[in-house]
Amino acid sequence: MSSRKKTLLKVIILGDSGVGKTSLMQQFVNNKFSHQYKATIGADFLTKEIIIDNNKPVTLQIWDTAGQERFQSLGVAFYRGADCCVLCFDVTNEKSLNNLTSWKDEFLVQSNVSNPQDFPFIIIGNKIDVDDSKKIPSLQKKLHNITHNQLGGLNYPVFETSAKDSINVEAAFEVIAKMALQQEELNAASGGDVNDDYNDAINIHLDGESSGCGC
Amino acid sequence: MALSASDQKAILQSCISSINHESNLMKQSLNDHKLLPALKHCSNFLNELRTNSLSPKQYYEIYMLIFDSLEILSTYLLNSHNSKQNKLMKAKTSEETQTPFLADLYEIVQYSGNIIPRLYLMIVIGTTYMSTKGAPSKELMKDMIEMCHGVQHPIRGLFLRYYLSQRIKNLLPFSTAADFHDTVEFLIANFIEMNKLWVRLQHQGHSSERELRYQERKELKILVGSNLVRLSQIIDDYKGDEDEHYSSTQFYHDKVFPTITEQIIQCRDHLAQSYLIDVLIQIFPDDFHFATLDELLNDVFLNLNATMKKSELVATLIERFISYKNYVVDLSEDKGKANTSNDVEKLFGRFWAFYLKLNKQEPELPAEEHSMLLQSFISLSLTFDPDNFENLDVVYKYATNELTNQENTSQEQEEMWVQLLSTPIRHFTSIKTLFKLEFFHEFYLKLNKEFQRKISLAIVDKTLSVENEGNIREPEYLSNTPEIDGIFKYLLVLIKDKPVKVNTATDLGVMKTIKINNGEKQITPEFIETQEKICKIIHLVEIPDDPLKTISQLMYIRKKYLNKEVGNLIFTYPTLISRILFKLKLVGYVNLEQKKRGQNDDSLDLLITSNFKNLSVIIDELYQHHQEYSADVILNIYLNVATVADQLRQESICYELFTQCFVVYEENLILNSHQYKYYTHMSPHDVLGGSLAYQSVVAIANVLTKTRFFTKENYENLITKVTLYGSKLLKKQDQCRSVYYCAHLWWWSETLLPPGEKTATIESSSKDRKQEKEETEDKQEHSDPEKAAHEDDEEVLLYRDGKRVLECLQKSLRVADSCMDPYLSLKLFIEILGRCLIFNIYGNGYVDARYINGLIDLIKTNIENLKDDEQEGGGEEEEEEEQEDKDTKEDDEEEEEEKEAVLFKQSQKVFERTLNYISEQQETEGRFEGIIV
Repeated sequence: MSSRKKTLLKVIILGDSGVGKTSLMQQFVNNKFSHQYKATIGADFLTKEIIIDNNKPVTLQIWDTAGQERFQSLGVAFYRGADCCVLCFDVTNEKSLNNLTSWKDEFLVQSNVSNPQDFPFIIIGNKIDVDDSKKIPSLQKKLHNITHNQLGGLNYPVFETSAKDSINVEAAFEVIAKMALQQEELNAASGGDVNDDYNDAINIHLDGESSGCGC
Repeated sequence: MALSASDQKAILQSCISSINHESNLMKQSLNDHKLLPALKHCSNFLNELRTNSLSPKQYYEIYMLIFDSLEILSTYLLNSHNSKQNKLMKAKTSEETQTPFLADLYEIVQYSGNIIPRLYLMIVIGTTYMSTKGAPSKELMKDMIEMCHGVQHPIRGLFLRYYLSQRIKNLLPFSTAADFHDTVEFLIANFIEMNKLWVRLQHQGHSSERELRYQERKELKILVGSNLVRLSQIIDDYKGDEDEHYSSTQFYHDKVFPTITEQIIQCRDHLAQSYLIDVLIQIFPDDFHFATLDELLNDVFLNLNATMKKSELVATLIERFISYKNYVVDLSEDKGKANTSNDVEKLFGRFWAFYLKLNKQEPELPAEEHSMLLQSFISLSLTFDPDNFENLDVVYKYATNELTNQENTSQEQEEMWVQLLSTPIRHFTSIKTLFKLEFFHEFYLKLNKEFQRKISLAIVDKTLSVENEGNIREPEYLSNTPEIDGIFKYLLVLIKDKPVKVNTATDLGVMKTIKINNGEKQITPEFIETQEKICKIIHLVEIPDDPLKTISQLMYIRKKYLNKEVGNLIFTYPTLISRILFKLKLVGYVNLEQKKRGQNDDSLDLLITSNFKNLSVIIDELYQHHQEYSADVILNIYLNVATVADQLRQESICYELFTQCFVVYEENLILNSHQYKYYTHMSPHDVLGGSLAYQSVVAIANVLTKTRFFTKENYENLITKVTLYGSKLLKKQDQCRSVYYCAHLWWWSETLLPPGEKTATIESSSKDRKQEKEETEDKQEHSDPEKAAHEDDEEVLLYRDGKRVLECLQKSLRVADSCMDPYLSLKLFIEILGRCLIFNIYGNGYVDARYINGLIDLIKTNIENLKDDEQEGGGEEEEEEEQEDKDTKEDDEEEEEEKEAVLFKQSQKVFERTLNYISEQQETEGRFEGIIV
């Protein structure tokens, strides 16, 4: 019973329709990949418990979102309380790469995070398994332009993954978890009493289960 | 009931703070392990969900807050349940009577006062319970979904059931066939109930709020859709237990599809139908749709609300199939997999059958629906069956016969037809594929002219495009009559396009235009561009390795298409003519080569001659219609053809062509009416200036000087005539210059012939010489010592008549002398001197040192005279206009502002340079013997 203190980390995956958000999540959580395309309706999450930094168990609550606006009719209230945001694009679709900035902006506007300047984002370029001929020409240069453009402000870690062949997916989510944990601790430290209480709740509960409920 | 937006916001804020407050209290109680107070606080914040005042989006916000808080509760409960169970296990190993903690709790919360908090608590506890080992999952599921019936308020009910489905999604049992069926039942039941709530919302409240309700329902739609998502997931996850015959597709076809679609049809609600069909198409796999396609089209689509736009649904479905197909193609490219099943190939037929039924059922279907549907069918056919053009033709045939017959087709409708026609144009790699579609053109003809033009331009652009998916491609040549007809029948509308007559709208600058024909007509830049494109298409007419056939095809194009609008001939004929001429040249050269090798082909000779005649007819047609404004262009065309005719030894043809040139000149150019065209603004001193007539004479002379295959008589006729034209020009300087240029016609300086060839001009002249010995001997001795020297070896044979050259120069001199302007006169003298020197170098004995010396003297005298005049004249001017050029009076070297003086100075300089040149040549080359500088 080393450290059973579990932390819930909320991660939001954003990106254009068809870049493979659901596939990434399915691959990471369930190790599954389906060739069939299914649009995501609304937003839904999957949870997965992982251990980071050797002995720290965390629960990732990963929110998959609808890339198509018509399937997001109720708004994006679920952005609230996110600890990390994943911006996805498709390495064969230049438009999806160019839209990353607007996804980021949309997230910051809607999520109301306390530290928009250093909120953790991560960029994932999915579908690296496809033939090189179909990929965006001179992708690295364009990617570099986007991530190093001061105005665009997308200077974040980049992972190139394949949800289909399970390349780099684990590694990306490990970094996501670490970044999310940092953000969560930052929020906790900066007096987000909600989180304080939450952590305490778990702690106390674990220490003294004897006084449980008598009802 | 209707609240203002700000009121709603205030309510939302108070809800949020209340939830946060109660949620914190709940957490504190949990920290203290006081479960009942915690549940109390929980129930308190759940009470906020009872509100009626929030919009769906706002309700969703508080729902999310509560969702997060309930997760905390759930985690706590799960942990304490597990530890209690562990304790129990340790304490009393075999006792089973004790009910589990969560089961107790599930019973306890049913005593909550309000139904909303009660049900949420039941769900959070029930689902937590379900996640533990040995929980009676199915009973719980049944119980919870039954209890949900208690909430009939649409928004609250929808969110409650959404919460249930969100909480339960990972807990649904499906390990056995029975479990799986129960789960499916559960999800379908939840879907049906949610759909009912959703549809019912439309009919709540005052009728004035109908629009508002509609908006709310639109926002809520994803809650209903989420059930179908779960259903799709669970079908994905279930692998069929032990039943070998289980097929998920079959299951969907037999069980899920009929139930869901029945609901969709029966609710008869527009929004529900369009959304749910969309979701159905999007979230179930393609195989399922292929399996249920006929039912979906004929049983579902046809039975939907009559106001539903079937085209949108069909488009969604077809788009899905298309991306599936593209994906499968990608996949099979990667791994060499087999292609799709046969079923898929007949897709078009199935859609088409549906379309015909739809037409029968709804004869009043609006045109845009037809257009959209047909558009989708075309895309479908192009993707799934790219080599089957029958399908496309079926579409176009139907469109031609059924849709375009209405008299009053609107603009929008026509635009939609244009769309219909453009799709295959964009899609085909080769435009020739289009020719296989019989009804494409029929349908095209039903459009009005403006839209025909659009399509035609699209076809032209496609034909001319050199790019194909990023790769440069070879141009596609049109190499037979069907192909030519295939393209040109679409070009006709462009060929017949008329230039605009002058009108006020264009004059006011409303339209961007270019004036042509001396401002009588106006054309738009687009018009020019279009005509240019037609010319480019003409360049694509090419029958490989058969220039003669190419020529006849080009002639055919002219007769059948290009001359349909005579006003536009001037834009297209020059290209056509140069193409024909080029091909004719190839044929002619080959013929000449064959003749050299002794293979005479009389029929080929005849063909060439007749083609030249045909060509001449074409130019004549052009001339008939455009002589007024484009005579100079036509003259140049004649001259080009004449050059080629001469090279191909077509003497009589060539002679006729020159005669035509003279006609053009005399009828249209001599009058010099087109002042706007040439550099008439230039000073008469400028050699490059001059009237159109002068330019024309020089142009004719330039071509004549290169001809080599006239008989002497014909040649002399022609050059005499052109020299005569020159001498009759209106202006002195034009006369003078054209005549001294023409002098060159009498003195060839180079053979321009391939080695071993003989020129007819000289041959005939030598014949003449034999007949009329005296005359020719005289010529030989005096005029042509060089030629005489070379006559024996017959290497260089040049037509030369030194006497006539001298006559020309004399004529020029006389004209120059008669100029009223002394400066111009001087300029011309110096120009003539230049010519004389050239002829002297050429060895023309008539232009000897004595003659040149005389000319130099004449020039010198003139210069002296002018210098005197200038000094006097300058003095006078100085007196009259004091402010001007005071200091320049005596100093000739200094710059003069005055025009004439500048010209004079220039002339003097040119003269000096000429003299310097003479003395240099005398020293280095030994030329110009006897000329005194």
